[in-house]
Amino acid sequence: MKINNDAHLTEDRIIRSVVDKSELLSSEKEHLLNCSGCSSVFEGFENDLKQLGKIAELSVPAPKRRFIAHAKKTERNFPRFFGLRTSLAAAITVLFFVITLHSDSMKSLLNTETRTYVDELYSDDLFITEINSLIENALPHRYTNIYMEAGPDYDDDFMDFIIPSYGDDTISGEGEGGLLS
Amino acid sequence: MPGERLLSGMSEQHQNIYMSPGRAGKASEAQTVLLAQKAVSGSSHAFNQLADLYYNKIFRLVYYRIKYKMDAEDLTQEIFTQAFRNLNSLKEVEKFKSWLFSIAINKVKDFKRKKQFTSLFGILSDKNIKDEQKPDTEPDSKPDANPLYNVMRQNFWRQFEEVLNRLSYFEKEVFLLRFLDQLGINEISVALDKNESTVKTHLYRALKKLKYDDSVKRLLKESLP
Repeated sequence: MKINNDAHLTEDRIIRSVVDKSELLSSEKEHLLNCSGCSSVFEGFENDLKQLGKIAELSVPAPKRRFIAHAKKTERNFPRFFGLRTSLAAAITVLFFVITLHSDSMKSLLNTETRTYVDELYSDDLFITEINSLIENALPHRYTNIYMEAGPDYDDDFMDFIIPSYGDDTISGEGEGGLLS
Repeated sequence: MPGERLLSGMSEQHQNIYMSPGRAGKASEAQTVLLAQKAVSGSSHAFNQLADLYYNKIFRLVYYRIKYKMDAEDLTQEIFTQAFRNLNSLKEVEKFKSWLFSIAINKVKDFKRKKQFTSLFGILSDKNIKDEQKPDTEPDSKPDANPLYNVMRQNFWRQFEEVLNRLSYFEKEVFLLRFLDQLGINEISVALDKNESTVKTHLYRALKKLKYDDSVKRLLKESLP
């Protein structure tokens, strides 16, 4: 960039020079040295900033404490894998998992006990039902058709006809109108 | 000169701190490097000397950003404690100053984030949030501190905050580090972990904003009678 030494520095170039004087071209530096107008603008802005810094410094209250390092260097001989915060976070996480696992195991334990109790009741019930059915009919299932009525036509009269009951006069013929009378 | 009037209202001890260029400013780079080397190799005494050299600078850095004395004191203590504990992470002792400033900047950032977080969840009462949003109104506790100085101080910070609010976060940070914390471009780039050209660009933008509306000049005029 070619700059005329007689041309004044723009405001942008003056700001650049306040940021870092080395950013100016040699011709600009030379102009800044020789031109009273440009140098007064530059120095004015720079002085304002310096004064601002100084007033800010004056406006800070004085600290009351000072720092004294008490800790021994030996503690740094041990490897510090975790900081205090990380350790604390890890501890809390572990505690959380322990509590969660513990409560889950308790829950599952309670669930198992309940399930076992229900299962036992059910098997007991089945067993009692089986016993009751055996009391009512001890014959195996396949004999059931033999002794039980095969159809609706074999009623009591039919059975009496086939197998007359003991003391029936009709068979003995001893009664009135019987075969032997 | 307004600055001298402000100075006349301060305690003698306070004046001594600010009239001199500052203990850290006086300390040569070589002295800092030497002390940093000793501190890294395990000397807590050397670190205490470094803390004495930089304590006021770090306190001011924190105060410029949070403007609350009690919090600034606590944070400064935390910054030096953290620096002492993490001395073994300091690879180049020549960059001790920038390293310390980077710890301070990050600590302030964390502090502000934490404050926002707590206020978001209503942990602090409304009154506390309001109190912490405005600049510190606590007068300088020195018995010989002029009441006029306290009023001017509060007025300055109020107006200064208004000027800074016109800058973006990064522009504000670079501006504060350059002109209030008096760090060089290289030191700022190390402290913020950005390259020098980025720092210069943000500083240029900040200055351009402040220059075009003469806000620095007006601040200097208005904050001081």
